[in-house]
Amino acid sequence: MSGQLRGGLALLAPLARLGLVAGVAASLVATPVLALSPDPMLTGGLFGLNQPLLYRWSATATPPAIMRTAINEAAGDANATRRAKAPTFTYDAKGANVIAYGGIVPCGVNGLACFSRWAPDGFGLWFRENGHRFDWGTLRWCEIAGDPDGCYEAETIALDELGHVTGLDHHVNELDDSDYTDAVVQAYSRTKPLDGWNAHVYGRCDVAALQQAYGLLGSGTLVSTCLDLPTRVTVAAGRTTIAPGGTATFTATLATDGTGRLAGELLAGRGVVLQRWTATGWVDAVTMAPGATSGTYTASFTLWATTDLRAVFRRTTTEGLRASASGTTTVTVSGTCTGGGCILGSGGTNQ
Amino acid sequence: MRMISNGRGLRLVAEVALAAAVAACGSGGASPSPVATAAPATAKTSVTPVAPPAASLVIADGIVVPGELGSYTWDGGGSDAPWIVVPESGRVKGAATMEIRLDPAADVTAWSARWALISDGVAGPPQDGSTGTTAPMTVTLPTANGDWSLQVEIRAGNGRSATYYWRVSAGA
Repeated sequence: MSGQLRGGLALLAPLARLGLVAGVAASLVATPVLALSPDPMLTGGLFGLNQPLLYRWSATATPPAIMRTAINEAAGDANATRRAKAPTFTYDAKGANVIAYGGIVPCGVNGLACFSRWAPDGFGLWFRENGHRFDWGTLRWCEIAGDPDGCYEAETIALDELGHVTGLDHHVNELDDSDYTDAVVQAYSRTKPLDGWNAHVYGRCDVAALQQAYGLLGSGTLVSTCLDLPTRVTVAAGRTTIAPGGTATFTATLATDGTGRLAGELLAGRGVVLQRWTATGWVDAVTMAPGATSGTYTASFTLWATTDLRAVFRRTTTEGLRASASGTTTVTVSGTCTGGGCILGSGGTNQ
Repeated sequence: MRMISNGRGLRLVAEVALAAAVAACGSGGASPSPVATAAPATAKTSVTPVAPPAASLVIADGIVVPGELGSYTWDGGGSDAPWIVVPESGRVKGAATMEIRLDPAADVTAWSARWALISDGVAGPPQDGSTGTTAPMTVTLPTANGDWSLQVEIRAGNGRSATYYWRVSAGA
């Protein structure tokens, strides 16, 4: 099973609580259905990285102004919270992708909204009209109905649909749905005032799937805590032999060590520490500063004796990255010191 | 009819296709029919409505109750629905164990069932459930008396998933 996936199989979750996982894990581990893990992905391909998807309103089934506002807000939510190079959504009167409201709506018989996607070319979205009568009740969009309890927020539902367009399938929840708010792209929509009825940001497991599919938006983008992504840190010394009291400069590189788009993504803006080996073990020497290029970190360190050093990245609670440590690099201190300074054994100097 | 894949033509055909899709399936009637309706028109494929299979709850020999289709994703399209509380007119008396069957059969790779007690016409939080990876999809009726909303979610690989609902009474 991939090291990128936090938690275990949905099917194992209840068993884990009973302490029965070990005996059955081997037989269930092949299932693709996972809980506390990124949303599954739809088939049919992906859009291009950061591909702009322009949409317009159906000429024959135009959403009312308040729904257009809600859908536009959802597009902004998707763009702002994707944290991946997933496509962006922007209204354009000449956009290639049509969004319709009411009238002819090809959703399932109980569908509030529905989508069709044909990546990388485009998509379509449809929303039921306010007041539509289902067998189970009458549809009330919160924005139109004035936010009564029991309404569905169009902005949230639109964000769910846009998530589908990018390629997200419904999140796999725990059996008690305790993790419902980990995703907006859900197998059922909630009404006001239940948790998740008015989500305006993708859930962490939506983001995790987008990051796996499209890669991180940038090197400083936080990795979703729905992932448990391995990292790899390397370190190199500018010079591996210096004179006593000389300054050694180190450059570390931190990157993801996952698979697919999350293999080798450089990670900038994180905390990387240079450690040195002592009689009591590894101790922090200095926190490395951002390097000249993204994902690199540098530090300079004065050495009087030959020293083993390494770079360490520590896990934080703010993102789903595993800790890692580099291999050891040894800086040899060699030479003699006099009143005129220290001289490398080989004849060079530190200055 | 087939979708064409280039820009403007695709849009036009897609909108036209909607009419065909709806005409073919309707959009829900007065009865709690569980029959799947059209999926959104999908590009580069036939616009014949693509939908998940219908699901039935087999309570006993001869007692087969069709389910209400909720959210689904299926072959390039999908639909999002609420947790559907089947009206009282659709209530069925449950048996200790029951089986879910799909028609046509689908290659189910995983499924889960959740039970939520219905109060004042609203389903509460899921209180019980079960999961599996292969047929038969067997569910166990909760022991507490009352009307229960049963949600069954199936995963059929290739980005296919669907959710179904029943109203099942337990107890006297």
